[in-house]
Amino acid sequence: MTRAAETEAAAAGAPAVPKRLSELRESQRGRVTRVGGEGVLRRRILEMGIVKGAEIYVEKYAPLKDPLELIVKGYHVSLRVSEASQIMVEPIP
Amino acid sequence: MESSILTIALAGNPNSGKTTIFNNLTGTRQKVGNWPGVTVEKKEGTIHRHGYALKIVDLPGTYSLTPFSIEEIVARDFILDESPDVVIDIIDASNLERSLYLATQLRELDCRLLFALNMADVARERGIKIDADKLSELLDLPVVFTVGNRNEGIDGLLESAIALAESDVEIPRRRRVKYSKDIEVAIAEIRERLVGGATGELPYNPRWIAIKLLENDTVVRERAAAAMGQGAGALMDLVDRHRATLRDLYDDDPEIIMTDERYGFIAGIVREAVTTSTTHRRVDISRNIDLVLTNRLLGLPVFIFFIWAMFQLTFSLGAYPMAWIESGIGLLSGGLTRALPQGLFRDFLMDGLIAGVGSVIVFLPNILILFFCIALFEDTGYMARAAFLMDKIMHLIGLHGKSFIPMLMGFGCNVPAVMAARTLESERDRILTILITPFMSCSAKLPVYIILAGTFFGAQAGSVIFGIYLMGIALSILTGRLFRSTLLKGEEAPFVMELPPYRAPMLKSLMIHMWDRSKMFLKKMTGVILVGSVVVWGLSAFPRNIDYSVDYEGRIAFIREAYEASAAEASAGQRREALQAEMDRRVDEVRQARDMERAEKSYMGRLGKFMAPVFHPLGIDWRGSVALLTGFAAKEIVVSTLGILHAAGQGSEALQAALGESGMTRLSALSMMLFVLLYMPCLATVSAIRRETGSTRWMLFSIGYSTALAWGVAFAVYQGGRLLGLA
Repeated sequence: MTRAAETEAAAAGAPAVPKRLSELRESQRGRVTRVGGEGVLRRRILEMGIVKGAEIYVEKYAPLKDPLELIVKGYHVSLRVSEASQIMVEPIP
Repeated sequence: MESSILTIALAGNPNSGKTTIFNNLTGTRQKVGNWPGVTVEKKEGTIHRHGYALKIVDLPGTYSLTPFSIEEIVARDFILDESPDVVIDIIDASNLERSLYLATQLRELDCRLLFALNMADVARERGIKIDADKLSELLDLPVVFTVGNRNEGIDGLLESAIALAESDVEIPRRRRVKYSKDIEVAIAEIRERLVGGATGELPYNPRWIAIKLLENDTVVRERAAAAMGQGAGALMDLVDRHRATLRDLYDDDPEIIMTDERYGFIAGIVREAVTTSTTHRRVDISRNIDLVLTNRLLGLPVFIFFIWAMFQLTFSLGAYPMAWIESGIGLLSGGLTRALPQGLFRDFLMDGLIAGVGSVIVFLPNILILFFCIALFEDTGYMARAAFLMDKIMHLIGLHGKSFIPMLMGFGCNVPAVMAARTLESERDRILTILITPFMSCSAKLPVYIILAGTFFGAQAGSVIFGIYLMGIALSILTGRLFRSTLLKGEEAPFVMELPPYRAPMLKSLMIHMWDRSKMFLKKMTGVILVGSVVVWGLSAFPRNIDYSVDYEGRIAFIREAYEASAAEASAGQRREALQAEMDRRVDEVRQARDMERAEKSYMGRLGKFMAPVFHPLGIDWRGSVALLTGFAAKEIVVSTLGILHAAGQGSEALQAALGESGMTRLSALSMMLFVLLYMPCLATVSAIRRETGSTRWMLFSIGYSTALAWGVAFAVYQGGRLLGLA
């Protein structure tokens, strides 16, 4: 879906198309729709409160673009980009 | 009367202020050691209050009790197996929702649990109001407010803990997480099977075992199987059947669903017990600090500045007390030299014991300062930012961002560097960091390079030494990648790391931190170092009666006599002085020749000659072999041994001249420098490795690997160079 179509969909009030968390840019928000990944990593992410339905704010990317800093449930946590790419979020405008 | 003992365990998330509360409770009466079998720090302290001896145990800070990390296993096993009288869960009130995840897991363990809502002041500032009574009622357990860094509420906390331990109320079974119906059905069925089928006594409460079995917890699975005896197979079949059904039902693993449901349960509690005022003006100091410290442009330069400052403090400021200690040791040995009669005992005391222990104790100022800086980084919360900034680079070697600091410290001294690896949580990362840190060329190796490169490479010496350093870095990267894909393989630990709010450090906690770690250095090092130095001394000092090929004493006497004779003839004072200088020079020459023969014929010298064939293909002669062997005590010694063996007398220029004539070539000098760069770490580092990995095998592996690599690289360079016609 193109960016234009995406904006259109958002404007029309349709639910935003899920994206990878790693595709969000700084200062963007999203709601978790799915946490993928395997074993320990997946469990760890969930235990840190990044569960389905949680709201995530992308605070910033590190100077070398990896890892990234998120705010979730009122605290700051950082994930590697590869880890964030396993998390699907619905962008919140 | 002997007071009865109560054990109180402190559990909580990292950064919840748990350590501060522990320090406030126990003060200086704490014992720091390791948990049995693992290198996780164990802290405990006993205090006396209200007629009880209270043994306070600080459990490792964890976010959960899933047994994925050693810390979690340690914390969980302590609660399960040691059954502390009370468990206090220290909860960061400003971070309630996530903190409650661990709390729900503790709740499931059926221990006597008490909440300490810590840092409620911070929460209030953020507009978060927690209704403690409501929380207490909802979870059916006592809740106490504390402010750890101001020592508020600590007495109340202890009183509540004692009251809870004294109360004989049944541990409440309600008010736990209730899972969805299908999961509860499965739990109930497995529970029944457990209760009905156990041959021995069940290790833990059956509902908890059932939950853990559904979550496919391998540790509990093994223990449950052991308790079930014959019925184990049938039980596991039942569990696997339920897991499969649930997976079909939810389209996901049961453990994931259960994690979700715990957070659901927590969300319900938070809705009822917490009010957040949205109108509150939010000034988040931490976020403002991070605008600079993790800024896209400024973050890395500021980090490099901090590291530079730490390095400067550790090695430049540390140089002053180091000099005092050295002169203190000098005074001591000077005094002893005068006080004791010449002989074996004096040599042993001076050259063995005092020199050996002295060579380690001089590192103490460095270590104190370094650990102070590291404690400062950790306590303020900057360490997590450092890892955040450096992770991308370190991840290339398969390491965590936090590995950067120990590796960097390695350029100063490997002993504190290896110890700084403690800050890494994953054991695999810690071991890998410890194994590659010695390739960061430490400052003690520099004099060796300066002498060799200075002699053989003249104006290019600087570039050659720089090249040696780069070689060390390159090989550490290669080693890191090699070990990560072989020896220390396995699923990479998730990076997922909290960036806690910045906090003003507390001097008391910094001091305790610094002192604990330094004490460990002193205590554990001295034993090994003592023995090691005595062995090295013994090898160099024995046999006592060397059959000299030349009668050196006779020669000295002869030179003296000749001087007396010519001095009597010489009339003018100036002529006499010249003669005196001439005599001194000749006596020194004879003494050097004697020392050289003595070194050559000592056990160390014989060992060196015995080992010479091993070093021959590297272009290193027997003198080099002996020097390298003595370098095990400390790398600086390589230079002084070379000095003795080349009979070069005092000063590096004399040694350079002697080396230049010794038949060594540029190629063999390069080979020797590479060998010094890579071969086994010094005694102090080796004992630090033993200590920090908690295993003699890793220590031996480190020695073996580095020495083999050193030999291989030096061989390739020397023989390769010869093939290319370089000399």
